[in-house]
Amino acid sequence: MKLIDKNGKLFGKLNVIDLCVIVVVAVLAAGTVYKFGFMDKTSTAAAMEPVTYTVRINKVRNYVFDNVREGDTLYDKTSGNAIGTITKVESQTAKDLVEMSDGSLVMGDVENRIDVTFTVEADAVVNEGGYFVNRNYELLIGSKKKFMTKYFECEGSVYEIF
Amino acid sequence: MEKKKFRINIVDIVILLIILAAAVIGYSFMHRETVVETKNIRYTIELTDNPIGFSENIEIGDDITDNIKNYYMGKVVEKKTVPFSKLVADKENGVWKDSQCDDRETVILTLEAPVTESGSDLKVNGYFVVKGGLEIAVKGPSYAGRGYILTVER
Repeated sequence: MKLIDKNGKLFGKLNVIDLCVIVVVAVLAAGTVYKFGFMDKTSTAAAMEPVTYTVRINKVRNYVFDNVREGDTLYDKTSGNAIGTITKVESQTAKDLVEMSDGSLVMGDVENRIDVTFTVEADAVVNEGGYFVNRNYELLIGSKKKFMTKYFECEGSVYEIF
Repeated sequence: MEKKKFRINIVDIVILLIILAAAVIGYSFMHRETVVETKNIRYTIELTDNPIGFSENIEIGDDITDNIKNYYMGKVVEKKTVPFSKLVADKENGVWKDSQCDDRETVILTLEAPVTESGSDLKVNGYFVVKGGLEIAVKGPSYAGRGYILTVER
C-alpha cells in the first residue's frame, strides 16, 4: 500500500491537510495543558507580603497637597500599573545644591518649594533579588521614576523600603 | 469525468467550529458595551512667562484646546493674574530665591470640563488627560501659552 494514494490520502484513509489540522490542534491543546497544568509556577505562586516604602518628590509647590491625599492609589506612569496605596504625605522645605560665588557647593533652602515624601503600602514578592510590588514592579532605591495618581503626576524616586 | 462527492468530515466540522468561535469572541470583544459616566470638574492651569497684558486676551467662556494634540481641554470660568517668578540661585547666601519679574506675568485659569473616569485617569471628552503637575501647551481664540496643570477638583 502506498503511503499517500492518488487522492492525496494517507494510507488511503486520511487526507494530509486534515492530518495537519489535527496535529496543529493537538499541539495547541498540549501546549495549553502544559502551560497551565505543569509549568513551574514559582514566579507566580510566590507568596506576596505587605511592604511599606517611601517615595520622595523634590522641589514641588504646595499645590501637591490639593492633589494628593492619603488613601489615593499610586501608579507607575510608565506601565500604568497600580503600585500601592498612599498612607501618609509629609513635606519639608526643599533643598538643592547652590554654587557659591567662591565656586563651592552648598545645600541651600529653596524658597516656595517643598520636598514631599509619600509613604506607600503595597503587596510585594520579597526575595534575594529584591522587592517586586505585585510581582513585577521592582522597587529600586534612588532610581528616578514617573509616578501618578488619578489627580497628580510627578517624577520622584523610591527613598526607603521598610 | 468523475464527479466529486461533496462530503463533510469531522475535521471540517472542527475547523468550522474554531472559526465560528473565533468570530464570536472577536465580535463580542469589539462590541463590548462600556458604560462611561461623564461629570463636570474644574481644574486650574497656569500659563507662565507672558508679556504684561497677555491676560487681557483671555475672556471668561473661552474654549481652551491642547496646542499639541488639539484635544479640547475645557472652558475658562475664572481668570487671575500674578507676577511671573523663577528660582534663582543666591550665591552669597547659599539659597534659592523665588524671584519675581515685574515685566512678565503668569495667568492662572480655572477651566470647567466634562471628564470621564477610566482607572487611573480623568479625561476631558475621553481624550485629554487631566493631572496636577502635567506640563501643557494650550491655545484659545487668538492666543497660546505654556505652563502646568496646578490643581484638579475632586
